[in-house]
Amino acid sequence: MSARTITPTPTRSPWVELIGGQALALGGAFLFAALVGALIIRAYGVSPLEVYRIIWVYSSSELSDFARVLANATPLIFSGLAVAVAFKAGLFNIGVEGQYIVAMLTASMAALGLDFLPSALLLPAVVLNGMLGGALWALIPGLLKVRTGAHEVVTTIMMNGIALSLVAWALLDPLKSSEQGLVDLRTDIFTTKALVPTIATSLGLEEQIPGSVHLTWLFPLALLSCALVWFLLFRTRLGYEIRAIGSSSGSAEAGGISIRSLQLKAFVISGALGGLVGLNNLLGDRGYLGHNYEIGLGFAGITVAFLGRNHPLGIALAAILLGMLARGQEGIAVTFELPSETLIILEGILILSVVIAYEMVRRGLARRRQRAVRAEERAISTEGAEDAPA
Amino acid sequence: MTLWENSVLGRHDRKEYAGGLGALAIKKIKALAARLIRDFDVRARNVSVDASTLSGGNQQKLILARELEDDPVLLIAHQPTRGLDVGAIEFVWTQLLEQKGAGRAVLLISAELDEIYELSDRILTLYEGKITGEFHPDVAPDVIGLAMTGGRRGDEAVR
Amino acid sequence: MPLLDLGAAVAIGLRYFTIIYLTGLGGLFSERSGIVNIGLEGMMIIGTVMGAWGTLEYGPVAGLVIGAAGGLGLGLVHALATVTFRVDHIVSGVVINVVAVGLARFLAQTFFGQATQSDPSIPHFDKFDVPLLSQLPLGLGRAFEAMSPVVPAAFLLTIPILFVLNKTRFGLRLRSAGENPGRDPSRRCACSSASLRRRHDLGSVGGAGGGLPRDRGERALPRRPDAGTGIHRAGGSDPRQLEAGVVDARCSVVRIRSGGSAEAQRRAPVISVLPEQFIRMIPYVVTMIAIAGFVGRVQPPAAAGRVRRRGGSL
Repeated sequence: MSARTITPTPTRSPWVELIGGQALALGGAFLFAALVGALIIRAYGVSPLEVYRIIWVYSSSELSDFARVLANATPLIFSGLAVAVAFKAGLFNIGVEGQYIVAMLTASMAALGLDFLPSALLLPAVVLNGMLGGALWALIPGLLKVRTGAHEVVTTIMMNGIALSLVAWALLDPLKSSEQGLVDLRTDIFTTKALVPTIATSLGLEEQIPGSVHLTWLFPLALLSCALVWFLLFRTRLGYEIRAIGSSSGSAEAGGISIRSLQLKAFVISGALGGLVGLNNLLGDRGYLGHNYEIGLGFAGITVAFLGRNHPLGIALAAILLGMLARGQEGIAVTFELPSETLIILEGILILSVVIAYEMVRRGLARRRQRAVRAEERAISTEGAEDAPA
Repeated sequence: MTLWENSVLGRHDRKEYAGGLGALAIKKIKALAARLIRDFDVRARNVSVDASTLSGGNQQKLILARELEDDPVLLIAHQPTRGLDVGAIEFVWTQLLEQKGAGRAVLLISAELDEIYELSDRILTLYEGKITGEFHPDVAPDVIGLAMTGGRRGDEAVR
Repeated sequence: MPLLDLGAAVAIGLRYFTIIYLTGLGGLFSERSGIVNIGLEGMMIIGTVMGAWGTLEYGPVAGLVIGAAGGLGLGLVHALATVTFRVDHIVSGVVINVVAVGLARFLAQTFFGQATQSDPSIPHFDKFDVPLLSQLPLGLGRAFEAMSPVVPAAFLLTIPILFVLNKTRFGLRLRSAGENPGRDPSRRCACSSASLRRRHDLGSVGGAGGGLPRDRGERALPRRPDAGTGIHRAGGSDPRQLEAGVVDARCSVVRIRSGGSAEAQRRAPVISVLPEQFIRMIPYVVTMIAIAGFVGRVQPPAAAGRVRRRGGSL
């Protein structure tokens, strides 16, 4: 944050309260979720503490474990950002799921069709094509929203369904591999020039991080995207307008902001970010588009966005947390006689309790702050404003 | 949105508030906000507090400050005192009268008859989307009441 | 063999209709009260597992009730989150879907042991031939032979639901809560009712629901884990301004089409001029067109999906 132009009064800064409140909310929610989870785990005759220890051990004991966590987090960061950008404009992009599925398709088309390009051109082209596919898939519900008022929640869900069928058809017909005797439906294997290298190979860390860990340069790209989205939302005019319509569309319109065009822009940006979600799976792992691509990342993005309070930094942290839980699930599967679904339930409880806890803290803080501000309004008369620079 | 973000709404697209790369010139905007809250006595700790935490009166002052900043020819005030306490109502009224005194046209839309009598030079009544009467503020309230509800006594209007 | 077996297509359509319609009714209630329920999907899934277990243990009727109770349970979670704690409706719904998938597998393992790969076979309601309709010519009659009683029951459910919605105090409050929660904050109430649909094509069980007025319930209608359908339903029920009967007509059209497509694919590859995947898109596209207002302008309740809060920013 840039320097405040007005000296704050000596009372506790709102930032301290805000951060303290959030920490309190997070801690409480984690504790609650851990307790409920413990009950379920207990019911299976397994020690909850042991389970939680295993989650920790599996996600942090070695460099490669942490790399796995970050690899898990990569698509979730993009997906969370996509949801957050739309949400800041007061829109719900439930269609990140469909957007990244279509983006995988368009990225594959580029990877297969432009394979004559050198790597330095091909890779960006593939990634951009993915973003374009996602943006295009978001454009349709965006246009419907702006032109006809069709609710974006419903239309994006429908677009998800259409995306699934579209990719299924593409794999059956136009993009189907010409190789003989294939069991799985898939495209041809991409040229290695189109693949995103892993960080381990680029930095010569192959010994610590095995090749099965798909932590690619898309992870730094995800972090960079967080920074860019932050800048976009909180520093640029476009972001200002996006947040203005999200926070009060009436005031924004009175302020001369065109709600429709802004909503469309927000949706397209969201879709472009959504287009990046599937790329780690496609370009960092498989190297082809198969019928068994990873699904559910778009919906996970909604939970990531809300765990992260729709703030880019929070989203990155939330994605890493969910990445840890996913890694922990693998650990539990091999260690205990416990259905690994337990962790999915745990995750759900955690998210609900975090969201609820935030809401309670938000309400409490708002009440406190309101009281404080009111008190100050009474206390500060004109001399309070003299702190301000002329 | 914070107070400073609110204070620039409507003129955020001007060159003077634009930084590089499509960014906003936040320092300038904060200076603007600081000036507005000083001039209009908006009581807030600083310009970075959430505008929604201000009391209704201070929110309204902020809006007035924001809208008057540009020296408008016409000011449309729609229910400017709804939900405000007595002190804040007094402030808004004074401001509106000052604006009138400064030669601006002020269109006040209000459901408060007292407010209308207090501030207006001319009173127009609307019924089903049509202007049903134009009155001088010394007209009796029941005449206005009748015109507001569609009754025909428009001939009493002061032309 | 005819190009397309009309009777079979209609029969499949009706079966899908039952599932979707019941879920749609669930959506209807929650949307009317101003609560967006993306979690219908999860409620269907849980209802399926619970219903299957209930049926195995206590017979089809009990299975129906237990399945409904399963959906109701998740509905209460959704209601608690959205109404009491003011969590965003979409977030809560998505989380419920996530949890439901895990919970369903978890429960299935608990109920049926490790062999969750294959579905346990479950006793079902006695099937019956619908009088008169089963005599219809052109092979259409076959659609009404050996029908589960749940299908007509779902149809008949329309009448009490219309009555509750339009003629009772509860219905009025429900609708007013959806239009303007500020007016009536204490009654962002709602209905609780749930229903279920059981595993696999074999035994079909529909559902019925129990109201839970005064409590801040929600409504849920579960079904077998068939990805997308619940959500689709939530979409289809968006013409919520329309009366239940119209919703009914619309979604049955949508479903009969896709039911027909599944059947067409099975029986008559001849007609697939269009790739099957495109036929599958039809219901989604139809819904989008409907929502976009080309079929008829539909307006959701004014406050649908909005978390009620005092204040707000300037």
